[in-house]
Amino acid sequence: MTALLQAEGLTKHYRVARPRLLAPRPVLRAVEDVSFEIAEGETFGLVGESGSGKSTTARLVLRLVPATAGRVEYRGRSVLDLPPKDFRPLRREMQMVFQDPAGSLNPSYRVRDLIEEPMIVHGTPATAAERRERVGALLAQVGLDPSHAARWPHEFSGGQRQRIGIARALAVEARLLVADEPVSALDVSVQAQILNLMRTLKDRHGLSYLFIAHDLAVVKHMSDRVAVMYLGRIVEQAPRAEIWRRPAHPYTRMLLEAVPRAKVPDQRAAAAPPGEIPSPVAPPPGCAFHPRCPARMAICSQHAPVAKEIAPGHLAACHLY
Amino acid sequence: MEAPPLLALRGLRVAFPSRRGLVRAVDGVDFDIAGGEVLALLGESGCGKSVTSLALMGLLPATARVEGEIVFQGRDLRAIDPAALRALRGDALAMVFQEPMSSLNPVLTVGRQVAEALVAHGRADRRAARARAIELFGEVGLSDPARRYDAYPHELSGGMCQRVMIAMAIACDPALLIADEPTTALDVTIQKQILALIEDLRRRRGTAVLLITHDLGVVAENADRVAVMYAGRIVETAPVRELFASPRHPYTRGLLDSMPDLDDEDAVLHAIPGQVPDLAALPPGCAFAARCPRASDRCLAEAPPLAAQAPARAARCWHPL
Repeated sequence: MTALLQAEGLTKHYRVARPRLLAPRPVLRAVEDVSFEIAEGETFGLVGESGSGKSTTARLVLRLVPATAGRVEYRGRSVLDLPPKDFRPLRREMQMVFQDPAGSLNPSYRVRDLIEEPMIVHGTPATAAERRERVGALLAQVGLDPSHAARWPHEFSGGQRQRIGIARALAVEARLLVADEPVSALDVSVQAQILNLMRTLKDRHGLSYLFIAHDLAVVKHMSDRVAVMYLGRIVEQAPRAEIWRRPAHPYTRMLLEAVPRAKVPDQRAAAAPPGEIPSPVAPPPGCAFHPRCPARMAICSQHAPVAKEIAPGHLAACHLY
Repeated sequence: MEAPPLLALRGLRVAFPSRRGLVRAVDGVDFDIAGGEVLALLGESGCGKSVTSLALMGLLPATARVEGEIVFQGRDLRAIDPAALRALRGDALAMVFQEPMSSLNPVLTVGRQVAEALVAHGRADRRAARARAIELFGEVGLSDPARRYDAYPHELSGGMCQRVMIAMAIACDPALLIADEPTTALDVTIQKQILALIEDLRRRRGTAVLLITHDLGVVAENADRVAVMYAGRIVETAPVRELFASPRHPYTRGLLDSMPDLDDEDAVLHAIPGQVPDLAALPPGCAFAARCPRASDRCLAEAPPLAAQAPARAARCWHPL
């Protein structure tokens, strides 16, 4: 397995507004020491609740926001410190699919112009005729009628707009798609259409995905390996089957128990998990999860746990291990 | 003899005039809710579930054309005068919305907002209202309720704001709580807390709940009975266990099959092809026929009635499963 993308020690701190005049500006720790790899042809899922840092991680990888610390290697080349002109050819291979297909498509562009735009930016294909031909082929690939190329984004439903967003990402022959909550704005029946499409395209083009979602069932369905984030850190990382059969981190277990199943339970009202996610401006000392953790020990409030490999490919950052 | 239902909807229709013609958002909806019962209204965006709840509360815009009866505690809410409806709203009939942050007044403390509701409905004078509001905050599980009284909405998390909304809703001990996507904006661990709180209120106070949601998991774990809506109509009603064990309407089946399952290894999702019809140009036959694997010529020509399938079960389908 060769790594297509490798992130090491990715960190993003934001300085936020002073609470009072003359007070020091607090630091918001959005992403803290995040490391992972995505192999060629693999789907790597990032799951977590709001504020866990999963979207910031995606943006760091694509250099949409500058990292405070850490490295990203794409096909063996360090990308965070490349000058923009050297980064551009690599960036062509790494495309993003956004959550809100309505907000990420320019409403004053026709669909054909939206899909052609990345090709113009990256200068491939070079001629307008070739590009137009490719637009038609791309529309067909994502399940839209090529004759709709002259329509405007508002003429499409949410699911169809997400198909347009995917066509845009594929327009320049991307190898890695970073999909940030690509189906969370869609209804269940349409969501399934888009998930199936993404899987088909992955097989057809040998794509790799960094797939981000808050919905555990969706992430499980899509991913080969999964990382669970909490308050800016990866707390557990494992192959898909392993993390669902043997969740190791108490937070992963809490999440899995909290997801409502579309099955009537024999007994109602299992205890709801306690507490809320703390502020990333003032995270609890030690393990950030310890105030909500049913298995906390004395050490948990003093030392942050380091990720350990507890089974082949299965990492957990928890003092239990 | 059975007791009359707490709420009975008879032939509710809501239409909005638009440039494209009359948009039939709710097209003949009937259902009952018994005292202490949780009825889930399940459906995807645009199916008419929220418009139904707004009609119940008398909160539709003046342009809406409404027909039918809404009988609550023996009185037709559409026939009583506006002052009587106002007195009922927030008293015997209360509502919790999807966006707790935007439903609260940002410039008043959350305590004031709850106290005001108590005073407005003559449940307490100013001084007693403060004490009662703090008591309610304790009841909905806000930590440190006396201090929370003076907090502004922006100082609280989404989950805490939803607890405040619930405190306000139950301030006057309603007979029916309408909860419109009460947890859709919340993280899954917080969702579980809020749903447990609603269930607890139902058990202790005997409050009936109309739970409006698109989430099959939320329905399975919290409802007694389910009404599934599609394109402005109820297409199936059943006790919750029977609905999930053996759905009769192909749309309900399609919804269940299009969800990724957290507890099973599933290769392909069975997406429902196509999309919901335009509510301004509904087909003459069954509104689901164009997407239905069981559709026949009859389905395209003639709209099926909501027909009894078994005791307490009904489906709007010519070819039920």
